[in-house]
Amino acid sequence: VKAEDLYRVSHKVAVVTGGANGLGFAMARALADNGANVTIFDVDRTALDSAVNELSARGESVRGEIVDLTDAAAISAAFERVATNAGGLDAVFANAGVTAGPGFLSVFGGRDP
Amino acid sequence: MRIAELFNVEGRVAFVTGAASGIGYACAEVLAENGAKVCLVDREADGLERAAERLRTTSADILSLVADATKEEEMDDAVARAIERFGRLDIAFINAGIGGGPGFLDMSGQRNPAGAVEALDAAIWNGHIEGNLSSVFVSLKAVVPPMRAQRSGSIIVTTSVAAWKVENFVCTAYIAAKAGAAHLVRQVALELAKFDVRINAIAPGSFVTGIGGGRMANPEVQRRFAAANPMGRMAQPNEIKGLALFLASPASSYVTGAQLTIDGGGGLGLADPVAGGAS
Repeated sequence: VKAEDLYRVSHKVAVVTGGANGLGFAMARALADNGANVTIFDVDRTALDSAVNELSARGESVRGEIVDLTDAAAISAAFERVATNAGGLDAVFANAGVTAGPGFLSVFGGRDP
Repeated sequence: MRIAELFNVEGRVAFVTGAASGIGYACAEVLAENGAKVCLVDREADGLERAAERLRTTSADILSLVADATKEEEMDDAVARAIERFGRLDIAFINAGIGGGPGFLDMSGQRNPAGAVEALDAAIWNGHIEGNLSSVFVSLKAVVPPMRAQRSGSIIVTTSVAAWKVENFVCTAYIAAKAGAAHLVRQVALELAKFDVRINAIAPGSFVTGIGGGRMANPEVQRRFAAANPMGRMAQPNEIKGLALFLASPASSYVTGAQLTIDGGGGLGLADPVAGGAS
């Protein structure tokens, strides 16, 4: 079996949360590059627009949704729209998160009160 | 990045032990199907030749090498012949191993005296240490030098879900040997990272293979394994291919020292009786 068949995602409907930047954007791009139908959920409108524009310019099927991942009703509604528009949902990358905050040591090794 | 590029192994030279059947053959096959040059290594000459013939219908660049993964001279010689034929070594699947031996419970859930720790035959213990742990060490000694010298390579070791999860019907010696192999992978990953040689483990759960003297071919054994799995079934060898190609290819460029489990959720326990069905 060829890699293209083994890992085929073309026409799969995928959602990437926190997909406007960083790792989430890399996930969205990999899916879009390989023909998936991708929706990015993010709270950052500027970054989301930029991400969707960049991926759409590559000729892929990409949409963006402004979604606050702490708002359960908004999350449900957003997934409902994806499933309705695309006719289903195949993959979710639940990637959104917040930064870790301080450890008891700083990255330079000193105690961080 | 396109899938073909991300998972590209075209022209790479792979060395697969325990390649005559089961998981080893499936790993060799997916590499050959994607353009790698593949050395099949097994101690069973007849099975090896059948596997090589089958694979030659996919690729002309197939070399079969009879060698016992527990014997240093044989593995060193096999690697030398692989390099003589193909010029380098990029991917090594250290897959050869043995199954079998009694657990402290048998498959029907009864105590099995022969599997009790105080009664376990030392020959069974030593066999598992040799076949499932020392064989990995011996194989590493053979494949690491060319990879370290060329400063690139991916090594994949077949461990088992039993490397991290204890199991009442699996032989205690097997569990200890596989756990040792998993830790060996982590230690060697630490050592080789600076040389851009990655090493990872695949920990399979219940696959339908010839391991353990072929007991997996028994429908009753298959039924019991399936019933003890959250997905309600055993895996077919082909289901290793995605993980194998991932670890062999640039797709896993920042993955080293990992043990990736492929067990249908078997290591998680059983949420509900599969026979009753989940909805």
